[in-house]
Amino acid sequence: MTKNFFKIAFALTLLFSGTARAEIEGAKAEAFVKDVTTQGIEDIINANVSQAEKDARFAKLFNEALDLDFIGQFVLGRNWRVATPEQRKEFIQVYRQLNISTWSKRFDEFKGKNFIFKGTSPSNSKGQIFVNSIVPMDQGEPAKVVWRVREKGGKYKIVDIIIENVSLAITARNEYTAFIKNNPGGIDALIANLKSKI
Amino acid sequence: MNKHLKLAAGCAALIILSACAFDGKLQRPEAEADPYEAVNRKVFSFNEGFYENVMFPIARGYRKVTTPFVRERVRGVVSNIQEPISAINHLLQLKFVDSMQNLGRFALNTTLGLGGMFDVAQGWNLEPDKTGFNETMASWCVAEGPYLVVPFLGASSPRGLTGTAVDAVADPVYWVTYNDANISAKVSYPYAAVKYTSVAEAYMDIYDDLKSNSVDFYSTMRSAYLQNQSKYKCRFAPEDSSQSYDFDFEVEDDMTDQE
Repeated sequence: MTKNFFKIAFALTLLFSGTARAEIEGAKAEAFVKDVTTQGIEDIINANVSQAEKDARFAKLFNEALDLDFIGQFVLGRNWRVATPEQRKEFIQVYRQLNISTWSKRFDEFKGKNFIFKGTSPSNSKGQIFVNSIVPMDQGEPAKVVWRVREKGGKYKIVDIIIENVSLAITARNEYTAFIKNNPGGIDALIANLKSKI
Repeated sequence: MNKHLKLAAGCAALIILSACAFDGKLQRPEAEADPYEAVNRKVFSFNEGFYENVMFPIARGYRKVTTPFVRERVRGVVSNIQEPISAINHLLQLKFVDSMQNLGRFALNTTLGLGGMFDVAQGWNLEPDKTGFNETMASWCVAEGPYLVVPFLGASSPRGLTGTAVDAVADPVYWVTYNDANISAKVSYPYAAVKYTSVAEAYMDIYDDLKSNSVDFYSTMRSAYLQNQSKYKCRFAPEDSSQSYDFDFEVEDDMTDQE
């Protein structure tokens, strides 16, 4: 009887420590995204500093919070495999710059709005999790924003942002794949086109 | 009224037929979803011209002569008129509580909210929750069908287009004015004009942003539309808790490993 009791107690401890660990990961990922958005709103949008300083702060936050090497490689899809090391490097660089300038502008529009966090959902990809949030709008239903977070060596990075069910990584991958397929200039033409947008 | 019955019967038949042919998937993979790409691209560039040279200039004019406060009231009124469409569709989706919520919102916002100008229903915890016939069909397992770009309307599909048509008929402005052609002309056209101008005004900045950052705007819009549609779930499909955007997100050489 006592033996069985210990067995059960041991099994329960294992069980609960397992779920507890999973919960901590979700809580940590959520705290990480919360921290990034708070920094963005308090230290950038609402900060009383020059536009140049805001841009610099945004670029720093963006580079730290997002894993752009990972995302950049993903969005190039199967074209990554055929790209030369120079093309890869140049693509990642231009992709990074374009995203910083685009998102810095988009982020400005965010003035007066806020994220409300709604917990996490599991992902089928190893070491990744979705942090759910909504953004109340002036009118109508709030916008659904989901952050895909990846853990690597204890560090958290955002790898995708999903707005109203639309993944930015998948959209970019489809767009770039279509462009390369329809363009004789291939990856070089893509890099040149992206450069012209910065 | 006969016309409406025929339409309803037609829709029911369509739903039953599609549900019978249902293979468990509402949507094809994106690579196979656009068999009419060549035609779609032509319509897409026609629409680009229409939006940029007709709709957006009108919307910019509208923005010039109104304040954000006024535009918000206009959006409120238009969206309130459409609240019964959501009520009907929630009913057809067997979501009775949501349907009552739409009706409650309609009653409160029409009266206390001054015709929908103010969303007072939110104060009673009646949150906005829109739906349409496209979602109703999806919930009864009607597959989306091939991707279509429709003149003037933009990204759609056979199911999406049917949804738009049925919702237009379910619009209170349509059936309230249906029996009097004189009133119908006086009300429907201005209503449609205000509705589309208001929508164009709300979306043109996003459109400009997406277009200026895209290397293939057609693909961007197609991908965004198809992903957005993939949120609909069929009620007879096996329970699947994974998210539509939870694709396999891995890369070959993980550069963070090399650091």
